[in-house]
Amino acid sequence: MTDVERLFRTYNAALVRYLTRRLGDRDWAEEVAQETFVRALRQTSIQNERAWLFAVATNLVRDEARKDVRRRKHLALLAEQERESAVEPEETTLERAQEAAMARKAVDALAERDRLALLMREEGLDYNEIAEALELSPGSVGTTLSRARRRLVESYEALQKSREEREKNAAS
Amino acid sequence: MQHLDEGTIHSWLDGALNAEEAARVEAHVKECAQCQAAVAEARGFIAASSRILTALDNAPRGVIPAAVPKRRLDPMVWRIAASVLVVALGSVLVIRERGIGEKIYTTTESPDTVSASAPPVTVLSNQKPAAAPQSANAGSGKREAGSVGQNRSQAAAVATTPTRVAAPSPASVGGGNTAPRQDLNKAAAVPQVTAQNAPGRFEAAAAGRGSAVPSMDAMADEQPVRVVGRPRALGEKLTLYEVAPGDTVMLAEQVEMELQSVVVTGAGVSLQGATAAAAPEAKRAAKLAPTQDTQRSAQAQAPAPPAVSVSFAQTPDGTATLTWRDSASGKVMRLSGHHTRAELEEIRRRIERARTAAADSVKKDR
Repeated sequence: MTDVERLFRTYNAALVRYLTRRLGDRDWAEEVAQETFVRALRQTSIQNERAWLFAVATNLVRDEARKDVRRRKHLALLAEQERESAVEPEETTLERAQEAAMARKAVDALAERDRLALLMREEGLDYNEIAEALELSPGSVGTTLSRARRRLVESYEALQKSREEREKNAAS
Repeated sequence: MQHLDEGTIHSWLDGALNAEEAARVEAHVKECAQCQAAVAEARGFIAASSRILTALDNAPRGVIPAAVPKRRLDPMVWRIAASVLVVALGSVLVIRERGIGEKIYTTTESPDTVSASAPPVTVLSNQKPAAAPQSANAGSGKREAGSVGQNRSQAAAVATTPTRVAAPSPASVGGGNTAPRQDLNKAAAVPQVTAQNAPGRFEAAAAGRGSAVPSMDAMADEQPVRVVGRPRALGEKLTLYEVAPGDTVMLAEQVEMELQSVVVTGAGVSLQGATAAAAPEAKRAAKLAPTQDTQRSAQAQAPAPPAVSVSFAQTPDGTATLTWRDSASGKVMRLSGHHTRAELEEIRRRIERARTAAADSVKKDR
């Protein structure tokens, strides 16, 4: 197993999930993740793999970097293999679709740094990794995360409340 | 020690503090109710935000269309489900309305409520059977809804027809609450009779435009039958007649098989002489000659029109059935009830005469 394959198998799922949550589009997320691993190939050494991958992926999204088509082919194959073994997500119900739409809105309402820190934390990155990926001081990650979580939950609950009121009005 | 700030609490809960810091926070939280509440709140935020972010994981695939359909079909599935529900509800409503229409119709059945005692035969023909499977779709639903209106008009027209037996006294038809009074008044006081197999004519008659009384002498000799209901049956259309007070009659039209049946129930039918039905479409009847041949022997004994074959059968429980082919439409008719053969023949002639009268009246009207 090459080094990039190991990196891919170790981090792809989390990276794609992170990017999907960030972008709202799984295909786009997979593309960016693949591009991230392509970039990793060019590195001679990476100190903190996870922090580096998340940082590069985040920057790729930001910069809309060009893709290395040739190398991505191999990674796309790997991605396909992984997708086949992955459990299919549940059927989307109307309720779930509405929840997803509200979650999307609430996430988009966050400041970019808060959002990224939270999404990285959800993928298991520790405070140092988040700090490294986002070029923050490690001491500010706790504050960033606490703010991000509070705001996310509060705006989601606000959306939920207004939806319930809409439904109530519609019913009456 | 001062109270913990929110960032520290989250750091502690995330396991991001070193051992020394963590011990300090833990000790404080044990003694500080306010910070305990803050920790509880932070736990809630952490759990809730994780849950919210999980909802994003089924994000659609936008780049590769092949991967998209499963998710993109979902709203369509809901739309389809909704439209199926609408159609189903609509069908139920139509069926219910139809049911009400029949109830209304049958209210004229009671002799007490109908003072016009000489309603003629009215045959509802060429309509889909009420319980036909097609009624589930919206198109036939509309059609059947339309026929309900027809039936009501017809009921009104039928009820106003005078007879020889009873003077045409003021009618209170159908309890007054069902048959439209406008139709009642408009309807000519003549036999509103429609020929089977002539829906257009039927409509004309139902609208109360019939004016001629071609067979008034015949009508004067007997009490005409009248339509009192249309029970539903699968694959055939039934029409209930009253041949005498309390004695009901039913017409069943087997649509797919091009059959038409008349079922007579009850007793005490007064039988009187009648003229034979005309055969304006004898050619069509002739096409169905094989069946006629099989019934010819039965016809020999019957005083029925010579152009029509008749057969007779009786079940052990006393239900007699008279079968013949209608000279006008070529359809096979079946008349059954607790009657003798002679009675059934008589009823049949009355029905046929009424139809002929209706057909003629409609012709003149045009």
